[in-house]
Amino acid sequence: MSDELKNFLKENASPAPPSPLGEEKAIWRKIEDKKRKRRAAWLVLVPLMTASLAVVVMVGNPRSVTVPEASGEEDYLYQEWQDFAKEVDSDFDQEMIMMFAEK
Amino acid sequence: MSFHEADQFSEFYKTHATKVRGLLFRLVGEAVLNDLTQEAFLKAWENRHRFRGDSEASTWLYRITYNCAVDYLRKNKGAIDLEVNDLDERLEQDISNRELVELVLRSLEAELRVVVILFYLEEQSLKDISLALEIPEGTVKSRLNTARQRMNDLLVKKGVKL
Repeated sequence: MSDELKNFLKENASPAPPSPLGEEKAIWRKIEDKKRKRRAAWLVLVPLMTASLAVVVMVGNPRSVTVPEASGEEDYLYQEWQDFAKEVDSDFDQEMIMMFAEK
Repeated sequence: MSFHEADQFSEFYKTHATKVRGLLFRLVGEAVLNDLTQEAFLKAWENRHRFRGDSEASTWLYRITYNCAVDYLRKNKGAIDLEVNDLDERLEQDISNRELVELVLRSLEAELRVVVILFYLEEQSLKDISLALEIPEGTVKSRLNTARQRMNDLLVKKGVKL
């Protein structure tokens, strides 16, 4: 029965329509196009990925800039010292004036 | 198969186009035949490095072709499947043997149809079919039996005795 079924199917099965003209070349063009697109994507992707990587590295490791920072206490002491020095200077000047003026 | 150089594509196409088109035509019909043929050859080309040569090139290509067809049928559910009512209606009409064979094939699910096409029409061995479809030989046999039984029932209905 199997052979008879096979013969019946083979004899009566519709043949596949012939390939359209130039199908082979059309497929080849598609293959080439796909290859070209993939290459172009890499050309964009690689610089983009490199730049992204550089940004990530820079953000991840910020260069530490050492800015000398005076604390509030230091500022206060410096100010006090300046005031004291001014006071001493002016007292000294006053004494000198008085001493020379008396002469 | 020497299919590792781009310039051999043409030869590869010429050798296998008829088989690929034959399988696709009977699995999915004529409407998308050209598109799926292109897709099958494209996939074959892109995956040519995966062909290990442990089967015939045609067996390997049948697998790719079948997968393309199954993908299409899955996305377009019932694209060429016949409803039982339609089948009965058609069988009652006066149809030629060619139409009958087409009807009988379309009445089968894709997984049965592909086994019938490969075994009876493409004359592939059970082993090659099992390699192409990546199923055990026992499954190929049981699918073939189921398909044979169902086809026979339909043919008997139309008075064809084999």
